Amino acid sequence: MNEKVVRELMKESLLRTSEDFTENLMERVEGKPVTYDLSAKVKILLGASLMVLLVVPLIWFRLAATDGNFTFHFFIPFILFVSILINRYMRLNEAQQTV
Amino acid sequence: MTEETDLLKRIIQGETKLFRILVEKYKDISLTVAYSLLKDKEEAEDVVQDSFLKAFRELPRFQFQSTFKSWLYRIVVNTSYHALEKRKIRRSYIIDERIESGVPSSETGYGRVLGNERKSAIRQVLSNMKTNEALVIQLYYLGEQSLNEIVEITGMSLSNVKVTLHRGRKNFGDQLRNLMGQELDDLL
Repeated sequence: MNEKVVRELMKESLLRTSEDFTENLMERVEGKPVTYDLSAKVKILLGASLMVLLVVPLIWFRLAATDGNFTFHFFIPFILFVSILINRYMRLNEAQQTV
Repeated sequence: MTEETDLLKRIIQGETKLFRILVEKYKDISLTVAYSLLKDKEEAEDVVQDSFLKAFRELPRFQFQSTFKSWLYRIVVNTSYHALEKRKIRRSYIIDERIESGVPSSETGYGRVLGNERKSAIRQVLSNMKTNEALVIQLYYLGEQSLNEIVEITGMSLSNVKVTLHRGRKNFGDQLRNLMGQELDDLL
């Protein structure tokens, strides 16, 4: 089969994109605002995390105050806890943005 | 400076609306190339969308050492391979579903969509060919890529590309002849 025939036949294999392909793409390209619709589950998770972030330190602080060793009983666990929460939030945010 | 180089520079400088021209020019071939790997039109279209977006974001880093077309096709192929990796397990489930439902796999491809007998035959042949062979002959004939450009896009060696192209062209011809018979001989 000669080159010219193959080339002509291959042209018939060309697929066409859907009608709104370019429009959808250009919306994303031109950076029109994309609204992130966080699921209820995610909202609850974030809300719970914030609550914990506020309540737990208060409890910790109160406990730490009983023996005066704030560094061990409060600051170190608190910093670790906050780091974990921030890390989780950032991963969640990244996962939402790639959807 | 070619027209396309000028266009690319204007897009990089901020005239983002001009990107549409490149999209219109290369979207169909990109879709066909992605389909040769993914065998699913919807997924191929998603991959092509993602590929164009990646190309747009990376445009400031484009060195103009290759053509935009080659660079884009490389992104399409890499993104398609990435998508293939992700859905390896799901793919076998889809094939199983097809077998269970009794629908021949060729009818779930785009052969059914068009209804034109010759086009259906061509696409059926391409669907049944080895992925690398279908990819290389589409890049060469449809994408009008040189052998060296295909090396850049696929990561295959030059000798491998030549052999794959030769085999792909032969298999394409043989399988099409089996399907089309006299009609193909009339073309030749």
